[in-house]
Amino acid sequence: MLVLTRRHGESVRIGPDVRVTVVASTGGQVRIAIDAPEEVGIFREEIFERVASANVEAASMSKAMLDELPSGGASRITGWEGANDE
Amino acid sequence: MSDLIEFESHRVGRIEVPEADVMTFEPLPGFPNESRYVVMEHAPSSPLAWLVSLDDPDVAFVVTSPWTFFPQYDPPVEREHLAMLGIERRDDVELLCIVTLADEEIFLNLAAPLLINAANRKGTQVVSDDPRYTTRAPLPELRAADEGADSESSEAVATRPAAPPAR
Repeated sequence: MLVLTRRHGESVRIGPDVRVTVVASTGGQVRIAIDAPEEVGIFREEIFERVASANVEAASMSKAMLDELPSGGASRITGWEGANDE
Repeated sequence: MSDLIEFESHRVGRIEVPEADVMTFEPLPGFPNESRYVVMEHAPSSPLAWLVSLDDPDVAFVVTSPWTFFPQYDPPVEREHLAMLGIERRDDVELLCIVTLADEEIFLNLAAPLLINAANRKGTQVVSDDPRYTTRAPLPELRAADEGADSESSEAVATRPAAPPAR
């Protein structure tokens, strides 16, 4: 990991297209400005991690689990437990 | 053109899909190595579908149109998300939310919907900190099955154009 010291108004370049600038720092908080192309995702770490853990939990589902849903849940969501016999 | 891809998913079993159906996603948070996905129907009249990774047989998500269960849902999509996918027309927008089962409860991830450009089949997961929505929204008591029967189309995945941000 690279660790740098920057002052107000100074920047760091990450690759050719991304620039991170320190715009303020007070009382333990640092305010940064990020210039990056539109296709580069920029996220607060904790929000990214929250989505990542939600995804990991969701990805463990199997077809069998869905088929074995408790009946209350199944009729709510699957729609094939006798609800639409045509 | 119509080449078929065969794939053995550990989650949903063996699948065969036309290559033209493959979508390319910005890797989803938590799954940095998977980018090729296909949407497969779960059962004929089910509002649920599977988003199956073609890069990892262990990865598949259950997805659904959020509006089936949350008609008022206003997805936290920003202008840059549309730009990132090259979305130019409202009709090209598809939006799905990931379903989670935990302790026999069913949740939708409304905070981080999947946004897809139907025109070029590129997709991304919108990572937002919109305070209105959570990654675990309990499914409301709602007769999804009845709604499904009423809808004019029997497509596996019910989608509806998301309103581009007005501001």
